[in-house]
Amino acid sequence: MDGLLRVISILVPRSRRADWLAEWRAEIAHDFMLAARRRQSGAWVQLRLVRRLAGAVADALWLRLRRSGAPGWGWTARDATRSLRRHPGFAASVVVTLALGVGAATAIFTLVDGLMLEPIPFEGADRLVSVNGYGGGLTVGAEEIAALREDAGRVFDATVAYAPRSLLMTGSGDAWSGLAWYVEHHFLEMLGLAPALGRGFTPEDAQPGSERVVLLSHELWRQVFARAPDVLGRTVELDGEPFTVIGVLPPTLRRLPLGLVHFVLPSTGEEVRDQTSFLARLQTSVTLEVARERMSQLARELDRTHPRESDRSLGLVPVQRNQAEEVTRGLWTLLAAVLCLLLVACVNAAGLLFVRGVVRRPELALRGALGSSRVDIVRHVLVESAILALAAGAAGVLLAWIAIRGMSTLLPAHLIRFSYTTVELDGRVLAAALAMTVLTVLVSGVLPALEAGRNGAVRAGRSVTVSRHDVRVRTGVQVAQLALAVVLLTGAALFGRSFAELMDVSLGYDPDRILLLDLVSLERVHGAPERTAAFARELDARLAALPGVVGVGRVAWGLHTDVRVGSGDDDQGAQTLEMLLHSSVDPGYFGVMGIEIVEGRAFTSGDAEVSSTVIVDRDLAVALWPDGRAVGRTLRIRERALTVVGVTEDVKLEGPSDPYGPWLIFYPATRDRLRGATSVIRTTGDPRALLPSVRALVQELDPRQPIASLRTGRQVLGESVADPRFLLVVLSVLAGVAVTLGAIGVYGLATFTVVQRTREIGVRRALGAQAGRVVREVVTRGLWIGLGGVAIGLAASVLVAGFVRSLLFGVSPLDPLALGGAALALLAACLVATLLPARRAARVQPSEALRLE
Amino acid sequence: MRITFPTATVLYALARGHGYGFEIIDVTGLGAGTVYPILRRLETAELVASSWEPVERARAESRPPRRNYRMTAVGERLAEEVRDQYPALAGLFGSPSGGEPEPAS
Repeated sequence: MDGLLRVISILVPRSRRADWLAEWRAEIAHDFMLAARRRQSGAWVQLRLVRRLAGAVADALWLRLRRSGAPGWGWTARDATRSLRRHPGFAASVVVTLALGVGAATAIFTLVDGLMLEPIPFEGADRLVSVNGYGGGLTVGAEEIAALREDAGRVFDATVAYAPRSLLMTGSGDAWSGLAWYVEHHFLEMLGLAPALGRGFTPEDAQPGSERVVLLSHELWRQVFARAPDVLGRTVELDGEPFTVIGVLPPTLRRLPLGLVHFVLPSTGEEVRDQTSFLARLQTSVTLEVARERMSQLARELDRTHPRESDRSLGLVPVQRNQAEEVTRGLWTLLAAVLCLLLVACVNAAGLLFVRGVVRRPELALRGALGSSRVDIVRHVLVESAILALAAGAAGVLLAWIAIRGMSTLLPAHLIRFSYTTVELDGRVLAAALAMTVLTVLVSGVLPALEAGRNGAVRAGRSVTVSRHDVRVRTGVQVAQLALAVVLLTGAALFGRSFAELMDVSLGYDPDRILLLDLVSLERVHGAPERTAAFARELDARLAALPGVVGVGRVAWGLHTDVRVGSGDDDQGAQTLEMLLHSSVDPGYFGVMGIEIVEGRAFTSGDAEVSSTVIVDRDLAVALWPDGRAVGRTLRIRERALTVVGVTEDVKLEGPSDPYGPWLIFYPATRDRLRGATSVIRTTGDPRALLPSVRALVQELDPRQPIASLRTGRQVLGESVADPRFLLVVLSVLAGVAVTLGAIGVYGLATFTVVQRTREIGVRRALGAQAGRVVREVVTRGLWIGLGGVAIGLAASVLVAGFVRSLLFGVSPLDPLALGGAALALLAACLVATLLPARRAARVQPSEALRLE
Repeated sequence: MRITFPTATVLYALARGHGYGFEIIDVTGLGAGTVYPILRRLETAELVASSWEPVERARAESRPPRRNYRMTAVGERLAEEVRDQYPALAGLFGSPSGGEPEPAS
């Protein structure tokens, strides 16, 4: 028992240990004495004493943590706060530094989490595909739908059709024109979704003659009905007909193609018979490649049984976030970059706290002399760091919220579509942000706290003496920080060069002054092909007559997949391509788009009738006929033989990065055959000025006709480079922040060094040293630190070069211009950062040195 | 200083003349890990003062002297307030101390 007591007494502060032991020994002895008098069992007494010794541990700990006269945690926190208030500049620097790091990390993590880690919330989401039809369009025709339904069992375990339409809602405040879907009644069940409010459709709702019911989108419910729970049972007018609201859809529907729907109505079957979007879920044993092969077979079978003027295509596009590897890689690059920045911020904060620890040595020594233990001193410094980290965490979360709002406007459109809510902070990211602040406390506070605890009682005095060890540590920290900044700067420089290269690529057409208009479901809206063709002709004529319009053309693009392309009979230069972009165009298309015919001629109306001619772009012509002219030669696409009548300049319809490969072929088509295709409108001035007129024109011709998209050529081009532009902007911001933090660190270190060496500088000035020499020394020292950071940073950049190679366009990851530029920029920042401290050093007068003696 | 129920109980026990650590544990039923920190806090707040019992008494029983806690004047005034604040405490204790209490299990 006494042995146990002695072990416990180790916890008691030395000054009270003897008394404590005596007290407890006396109580135990008295207890034994009483037990003997009462003839109590020895085992029972021992057991009772062991339990009381547990209380002895608590007593000893209490004495350790709070001796008489020693402060509690509350007092320590108040003391730390007072201490920070006396140094607002230091506190603000640390809070801003950590807030920038935590804010950026939280914002980017939210983005990556929302876009990559958050699973798409549909049942069997990884097997859900959308079937794309003719021209890569979002709807398929009646024959395709019938074939898909018949064939469904081979590769799909569930299918559902939904047909888009434009509807006008009245009867609830202002009229609301929006996109509607007619869906098969099992639509929500197939996706595994439940309405946010009310109920979904039943088979009875889909019966002809049943009560007209509608589901409202979450967005519509929010905007028009202010999320009123009593929206259920209300009557709304859609195109003049009354419908009863039976439910509100979940917001996740946005993840689907044409996902920005406002109304969902049950289809009786008629609405989804033709020009319909088609969703299917692959069987678990069927891969996407196998399913795509089956779709190609189906398309060829349909071409044989129901021939059309041009090849059918049935593409499968996964609904799941199946972004190109480059985008995923890009997001991971961003995450790595921002973690780099967080590290820079932590290192910067650690440096600031370390310097403060050194400068406070006299104060901490005084505390020690007045009775504070090493534990108390370390606790004080840690509590200070914790207060700073909590303040930085709160500021960081606020910064993150602002950054996310800003990023949402920059996000490429195809990424926004994948976010079913606006990207916003959620509880998990908030918890991650707070965890990051705790981590930064540990990283930023432990080192200086331990340094302070180790050196706190070394010496008291008015002056602060800095050991070489201190300086080495601080310098090492600064070099590491600058190295990280160089990595980020290099990344930003590389992406900047890459983006410049991308934008320098000739597109082969003139993207300025063109509008692209896509309509949906023409045949379902207008009925028979003749009426649809008549509508299209009327539309084109009215578009051409608009003031500011020079010409109108039509184009339907598509993708040949797994196609063999060769020349003539000898198959010279033949290749099998995974994808080959093709466009069916009317004769006026090339003039409207500004595509130059470099060899041969454009299409005539006669070509469309013959359907055996083709125009190719220069890349394809050179590949297949490197020796001479392509015009007049034969091109083989699968079993078809086509005569080349013209060669265009290299055209990049899908943007400068050519995502579908460098080759492009054009097929001739009549306007009537292209009735469902995209209209291309050439304008004299800014095409944006014509957007309202075009919308109004379509509305005027037929209010039921939905517009799928109306964009300018620049917008389309912008979307094609949205990913690299987004990466560039974010990386540039991160690099800018990192360089700023690095410069602040260099400034702080230089100032610290000048302050430490004030006496020495004063003595040297007294002995005749020129101010210029002092300035040179300070600046040179700063530049040497910068050079150290640059060297390590460039080496690190070279190491990670391979990871970012695929994200760059026309630029090597070891591009000397980018690496050299980053190095120079950082050295320039170091130079600027040392100027003020250098000026301060130059102003030191010899009399200051004497005063310090 | 915050007067919790355990603190009030210890004060009441002191007011009843129970002045030794284990004695207070026995009479209140509180654990050693509760009683001793309360005694330390009361002593820090100068509501209680401690001293070693007379050596002669301890020697007569062949044991080391124990530490005795008794209330200061301020402590006694506080104990009066505590009595009013926790009237049920009166029912937990018997008459003022006379003899050794039975040890709590």
